[in-house]
Amino acid sequence: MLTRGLALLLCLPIVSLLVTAAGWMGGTAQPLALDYAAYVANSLLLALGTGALSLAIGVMAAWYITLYDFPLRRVLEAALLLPLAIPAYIMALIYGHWFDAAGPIQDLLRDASGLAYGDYWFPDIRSIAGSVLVLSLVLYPYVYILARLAFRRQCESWFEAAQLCGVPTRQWLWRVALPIARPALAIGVALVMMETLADFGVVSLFGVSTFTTAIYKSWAGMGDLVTAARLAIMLLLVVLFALWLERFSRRDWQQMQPASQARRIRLLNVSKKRGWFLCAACSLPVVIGFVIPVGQLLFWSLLNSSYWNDGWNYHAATTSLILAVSAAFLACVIGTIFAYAVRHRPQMARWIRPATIGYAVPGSVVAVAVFMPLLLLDRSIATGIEHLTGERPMLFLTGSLFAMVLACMYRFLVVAFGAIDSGLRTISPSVDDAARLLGTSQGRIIRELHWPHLRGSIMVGGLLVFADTMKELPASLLMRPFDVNTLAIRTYSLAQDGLLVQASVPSLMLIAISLLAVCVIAWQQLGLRLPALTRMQATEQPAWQN
Amino acid sequence: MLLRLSALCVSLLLLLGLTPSVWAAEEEPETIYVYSASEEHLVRPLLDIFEKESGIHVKMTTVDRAALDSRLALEGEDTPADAVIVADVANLYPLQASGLLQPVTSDVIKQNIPQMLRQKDDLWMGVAMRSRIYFINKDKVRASALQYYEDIEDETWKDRLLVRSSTNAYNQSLLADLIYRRGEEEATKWAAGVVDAMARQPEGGDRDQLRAIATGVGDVALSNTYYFGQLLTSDDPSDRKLAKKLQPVFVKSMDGKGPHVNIRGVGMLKASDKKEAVTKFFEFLTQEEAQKFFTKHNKEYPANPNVAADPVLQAWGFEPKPQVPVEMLGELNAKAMAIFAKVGWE
Repeated sequence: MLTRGLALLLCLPIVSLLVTAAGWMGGTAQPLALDYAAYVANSLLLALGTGALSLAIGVMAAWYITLYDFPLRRVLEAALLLPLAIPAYIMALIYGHWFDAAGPIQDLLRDASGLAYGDYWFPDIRSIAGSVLVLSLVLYPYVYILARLAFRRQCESWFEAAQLCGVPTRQWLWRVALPIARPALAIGVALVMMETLADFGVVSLFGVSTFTTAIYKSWAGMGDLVTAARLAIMLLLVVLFALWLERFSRRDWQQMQPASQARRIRLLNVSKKRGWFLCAACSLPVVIGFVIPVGQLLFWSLLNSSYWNDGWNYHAATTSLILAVSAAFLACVIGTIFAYAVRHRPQMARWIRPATIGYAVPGSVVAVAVFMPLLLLDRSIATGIEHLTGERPMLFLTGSLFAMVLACMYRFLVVAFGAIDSGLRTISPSVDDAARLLGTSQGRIIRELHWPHLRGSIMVGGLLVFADTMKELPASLLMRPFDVNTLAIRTYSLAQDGLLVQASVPSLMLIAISLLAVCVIAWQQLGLRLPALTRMQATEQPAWQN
Repeated sequence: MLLRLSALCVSLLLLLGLTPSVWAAEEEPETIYVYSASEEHLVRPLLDIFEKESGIHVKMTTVDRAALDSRLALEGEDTPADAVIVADVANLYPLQASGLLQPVTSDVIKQNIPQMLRQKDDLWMGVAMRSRIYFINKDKVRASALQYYEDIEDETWKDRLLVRSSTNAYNQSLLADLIYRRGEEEATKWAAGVVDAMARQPEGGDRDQLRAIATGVGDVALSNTYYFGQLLTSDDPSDRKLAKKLQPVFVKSMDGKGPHVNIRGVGMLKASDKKEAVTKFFEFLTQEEAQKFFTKHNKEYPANPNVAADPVLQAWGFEPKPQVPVEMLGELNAKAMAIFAKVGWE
């Protein structure tokens, strides 16, 4: 009952989108010369390209880390997660600046060679290829986490069998590891592609026309909310189709044997030279995806250190924290309720899937879709109170952080749900049954049996939502109440005005805070508490995929 | 224990997050709420000064120009906002057209802001001015080569111009200006000429076009004046270096009158009942202190003729004079959009 109610409530944004698209909210679709073919082609190219590149980086890194012993392996194992802390638009700003015709790289090139612009060929960063590169750099960690887990879970005996069959080591990846890890990788790539399709920051900075920029263009440029809503629904359909395809493609897959029965893989020793080569290969994504951008931001922030004294940055940091903690908390609560609902009645997945679709919806669309029903509610409450007291109050749902919390929770719910659901799945229902047979109450089962196991998963889910909310931009930008600022908003609005130096301070603060969350996840995932890791692995079969 | 404590902290934070910012405001003597389409750092310091001087609190939020119309329309009479600040007249006019604004009349405003920069029924007014003109790379182009906006239509400029997308209000208002002065046909010719002259498809903002021509991508760019002023005084030394290669060309239109002038403007919402406070706020914006802020920090021209422009602007030797009642720029916006679509200016 509770689950269905919640699920229905969470479907409201989609409903409001449909209502808008039908034109019932007023407004008419303008006969726009929108180049649909280009949006579809660009969006697909971008999603496939980013998916493929993230897959390549993630798998390569995970494979080397899992199988070989090389210098700095332990450090890199964790460091490969660092780019998760950097918002894609900040990365795009920095690399857009670096590779720009007016940027430092081409400047150096011209100074060194004496050539003028136009005399030489230089790749254009503001292109689909550039967007793929930037997005892959921030998104590959999703693939890396899952690939690493999947590889790790493959037991030594698989490789022993491969060895016996005469498969050389360098073919293990292709012939043994990848086929077994495929479901996990599919999820990772699906996440990456959904994020890519919903991205607005990078493509708008790089001038690539995709669905999200078309949505914005029809809305901002032409004031045409109807067309914007229609485009958003088209995008949603594309995502649903891709998800279905992914599920369909592995309909025959069997669940693998659980990790606990497997012997861990022993690291292979390699020659010193090759060891350093592996180290370099695994460092590359970290250097390009984290060290360089953070270094550039630090450099900027030192150009005029007075910006560190700007009280508004600290004010924004507080708001960001409140927002992110609230959204993470709410997402965990609802995610847990949903996870339990699926555990007890698997058919509930049908209700939950549409309620957790927010991840695939661009933030600006989420903002509109959440804001409209909320505003209607807000206004009717105001009318109700006016009838009772004779005084019309101010709008308090849309006038407070509440709307922003709700929008962020809605967007990232599936992240929390996925983690918690997968955690819960590692606890066999037969354990519950046994406990119940022994006369244990449901409350005690949850408290004493589930909680100790589930804690880690809830924490990871919550932290992921926390980091995502810290970085979230378009929805909060559109919904912010009076005198409310987040670090992301501040970074964006300063950078928007070209004030990169001034923007570097809030963006560094933002990265530092999300880095804390990423570090806790990394620590959870990689180090001291291995059981948490085996729980996260079952993300391979979250309910929204069933 | 630790768990309970952290749960307590979380719920506290959650409560804090849910406390409407508007509740706290009710205890304060007087507060006005402003939707700003201008970036916060351009406005906030001014609001702080106003708060100190008048005792009236100002709370603001930035609203994307796209969201402004729909948000105000949806909120209707319940809108919490009392006033709006936007960066272009093209953003004010739709509000006027949907009947969302109410007039603000005051002798102080009339004295400080010229007639041309005010809507005729005082529904809105400009508080700062800028021009939108050509900028050239001094190494490649002589300033005398461009005297009129329309010069760009000439074959010699093919593949040499950089300009941002037509979804941007600044371009829309410039074209609306030319439509008013020269008629639709001539304006269409100009827009088509710009498309022919483009060195690349529109990408990025005005500042990006300026940086690009300084580097040698294209030779001439269309940009608002304040972006150049900001580049000249940027914190980033590489920006200052680039800006030194550029020169503004204050072109006329073929009608013989000076360059296009546009405004940063303010308007009061009809749903608001805080006329006195809003009037005080608007008056403050037209007076010396605020006007100096606009020109010093944003490198805009003061709308108040009695306030001197920033020395950086004075060095260009140009004084903006609106050639067209700014209201017309809004009225002709739809026509401008149609022309952009027709000539294929992306």
